[in-house]
Amino acid sequence: MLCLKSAKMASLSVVILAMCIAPGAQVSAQQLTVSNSGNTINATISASLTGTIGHSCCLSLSLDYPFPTGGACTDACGNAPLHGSWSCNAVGQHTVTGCWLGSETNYQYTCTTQSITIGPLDHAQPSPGCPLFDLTAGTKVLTHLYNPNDTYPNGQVQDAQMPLTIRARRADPGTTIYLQVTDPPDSSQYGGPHTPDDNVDVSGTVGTIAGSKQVTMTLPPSGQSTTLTLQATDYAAGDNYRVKGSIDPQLLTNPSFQCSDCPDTGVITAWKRVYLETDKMFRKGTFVTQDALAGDTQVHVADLTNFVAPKGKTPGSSVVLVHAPTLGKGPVYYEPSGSEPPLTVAKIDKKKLLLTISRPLARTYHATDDPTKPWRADGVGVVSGIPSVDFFTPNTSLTTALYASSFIEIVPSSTSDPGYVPYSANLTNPQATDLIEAGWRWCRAYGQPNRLCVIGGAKSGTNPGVRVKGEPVSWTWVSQIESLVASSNAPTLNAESTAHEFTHAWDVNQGFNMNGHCAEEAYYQNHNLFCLMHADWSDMSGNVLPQFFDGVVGFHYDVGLLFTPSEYLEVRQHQEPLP
Amino acid sequence: MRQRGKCVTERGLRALFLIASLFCIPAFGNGPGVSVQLNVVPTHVLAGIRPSFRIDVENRTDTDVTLPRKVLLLVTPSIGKPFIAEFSGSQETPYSTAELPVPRTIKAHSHGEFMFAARTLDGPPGWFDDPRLNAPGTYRLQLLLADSVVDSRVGPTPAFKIDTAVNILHRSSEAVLTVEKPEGDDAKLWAYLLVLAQRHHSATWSARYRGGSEWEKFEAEAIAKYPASPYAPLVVRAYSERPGGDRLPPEERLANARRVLQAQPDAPNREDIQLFMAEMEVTSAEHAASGPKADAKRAVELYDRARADFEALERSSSDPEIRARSREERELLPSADDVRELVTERPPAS
Repeated sequence: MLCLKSAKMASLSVVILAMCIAPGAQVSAQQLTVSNSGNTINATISASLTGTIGHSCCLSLSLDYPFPTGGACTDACGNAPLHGSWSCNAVGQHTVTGCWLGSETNYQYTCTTQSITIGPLDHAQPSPGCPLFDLTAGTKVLTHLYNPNDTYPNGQVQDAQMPLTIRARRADPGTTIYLQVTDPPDSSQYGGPHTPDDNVDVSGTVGTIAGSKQVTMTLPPSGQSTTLTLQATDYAAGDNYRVKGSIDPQLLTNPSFQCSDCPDTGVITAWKRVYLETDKMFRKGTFVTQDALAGDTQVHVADLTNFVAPKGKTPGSSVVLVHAPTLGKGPVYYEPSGSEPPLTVAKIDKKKLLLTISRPLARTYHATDDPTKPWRADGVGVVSGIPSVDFFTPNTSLTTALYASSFIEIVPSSTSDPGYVPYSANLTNPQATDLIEAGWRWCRAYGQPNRLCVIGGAKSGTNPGVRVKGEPVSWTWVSQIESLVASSNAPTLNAESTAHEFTHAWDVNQGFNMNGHCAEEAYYQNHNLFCLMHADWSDMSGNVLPQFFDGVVGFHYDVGLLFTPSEYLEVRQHQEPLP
Repeated sequence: MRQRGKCVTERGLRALFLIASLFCIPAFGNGPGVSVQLNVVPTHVLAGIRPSFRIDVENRTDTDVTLPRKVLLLVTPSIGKPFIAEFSGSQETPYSTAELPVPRTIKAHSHGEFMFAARTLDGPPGWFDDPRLNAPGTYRLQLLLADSVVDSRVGPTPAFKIDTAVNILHRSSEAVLTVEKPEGDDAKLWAYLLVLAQRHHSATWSARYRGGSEWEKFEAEAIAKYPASPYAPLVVRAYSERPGGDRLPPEERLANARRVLQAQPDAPNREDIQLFMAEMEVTSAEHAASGPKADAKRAVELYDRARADFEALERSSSDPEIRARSREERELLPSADDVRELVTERPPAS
């Protein structure tokens, strides 16, 4: 190992051949260059990377942290280098980790490390930009991560816990330091002005480090870090924390202590994360009325409207068949899917209600198992390739922002399943049994924790949407919405209705005994407009009130209400998992 | 003194009128010549099983009477507050979708009957989707008939004041229902349903909670292990899939139905099970007539068997709805020539 004088630039260039890259992939050259200038460590990583459509290439650099840090990702790929620089490093050995990701690595990070030593003569000097030590944490801590294929936000590795990383910088390794956990004012737009110490969840060890809000410890050796764990809330999204550190014990003993160079994590805020699956009903289609077995080319259907037979050289309608088990326990499949050849109508028999299709089916599609319940059948949809023509799609554009204001991330479910739902003109079973059972079938993630589904459909009576009590599924009746307002307003009414029905899935407003609705004629940001969850959306003539397609949604907030002061508070503090 | 006496008399009259009104309102709500009697059959059920409602209407007037369309169910439990039972699982319309079947006109000096026949663990009468009606206990039930129901007004209104939110035109007589706690083998099955209830944060069961693996176990075990349980005949129709989602072949569903009927030949819904068996024969026929190995002769035999079973139900069923459905389904059956034509015209498999 070289000891470098501070006045000299000594560069160590190491050309490293990539190791452990995907089998068959071509090995390309990466270069990690590490140097120091005084107590500042500089590094550059470069790699010739290629990416395929839909994938980015990434480079990452970190100091004394042996994992990729999120890095710099670009669709352009190529060989542009990434530079990193870390100042005020403590005397002793440090390690730079450089990582790269591209098609060459099968889109997994591959990393290499390089050590460098800061000598005693390069000891960091006090300066405004030179912290005593690093006190690092992520800014977002999830209450729960229910999807095993998902990843926590940066820095987090376990539910409701945030690792705090401490590393010596200007202060010498071995120095005694003091840490204090505080509760900053809430950052929500609802219910301000907010004050410190306003967290909802103060139970047990929440908001502490190993049971204490005050910690005394010593800095680790150079090049190493110590990790402590901040216990956050496991349900109260929006609760927040801040950890401050100092080498001065007055941080813990003197409430008036003011510190200009105290390392600080910044505000760490608890969030919930729920996964939203969006499913969509065909605008044109029908139910299968007899089991169509794999290998068959004939499909008996309930209705041949909208199916067109071939004429001359013009092929018949393009169709998609879709299947789901009756109770939702089992795979949903459809065809054509993936690389399967398309399906078109080859012949129509109106008397027998029979479709002959262009090739044998790859799978079996079922009629209903109970003639009293036609909605239990699999479906055939007519498609043109234009989504707005082919599907009733719920508009979730307002839902994400609305819930973000309640510290809830709505993450689209990652799936290649396009979410087809068979066409049904009007789901009108008086007990809503059709909605209940269709929800089980077509919400692919039904029953999985923190998974909610919004389904776009045609109609069910006169309402623009519905949710069945106790179910993680809500419906937006797009055809009904399109009949209620002008076409220019339909997408916005769709979005507001979707947000309304999605909110029902959180079982809000039970105290009003109005089936999840409220009677509040004001929402927090605008006292002249109804709360999103108000029971009535129409005027005396049955016309939808314009405020429900103005593109603005909000919850009421009135702490004077005994049982349900705000849906915002209810969703923030809702126990998990949903439903 | 005279003045005081006058005041007492006036107060007394007012009180007397108030008391008289309270006693007389139910009678006035029914109308003097129209009576509505609610019969619950049976009067004792196992938790999770719903009785049938038979509503007998007597029109003693000289004119035809058309009953109101909407129906609410007022429930008075032996313990706890009265409530209006929910009918639909819809969050937007939990009460207003319950309606009397048509036709609703009762001719002068005649009698009419309406049925909400219970044949499965879900289905009519829809009020039993309300989990509160599946808790063991005793309940007084009364139907309230109205021309219109506004859901947003019914919910927040206490049940004993429901006439301030709904214009009630007729009240039925009260019927008493006892919901019994399952024991023995029935309790083992009931335990599955309670798991589903807990998952929905409910203390007791509702048929709305059927989506889950415990329901599959409930169905499968009721039919395979406990065919003599009162639950078994009520899930014959519903039990259609294996745990992985594969549909049971119609022959297996037929065998399941026979097993249950053998254990319970007097099952209350036996005629519906017989209808179901005929439907499965139709499905078997459809399978025989389709796919690359279509067999027209076999399909015709199966259709003929189904036809005979439908005709038997049309002749002998005591339930008019079963008779009507049997006829409808029989009329949809293809003839032997249709079957042979269908199989012959089938394009060859490539």
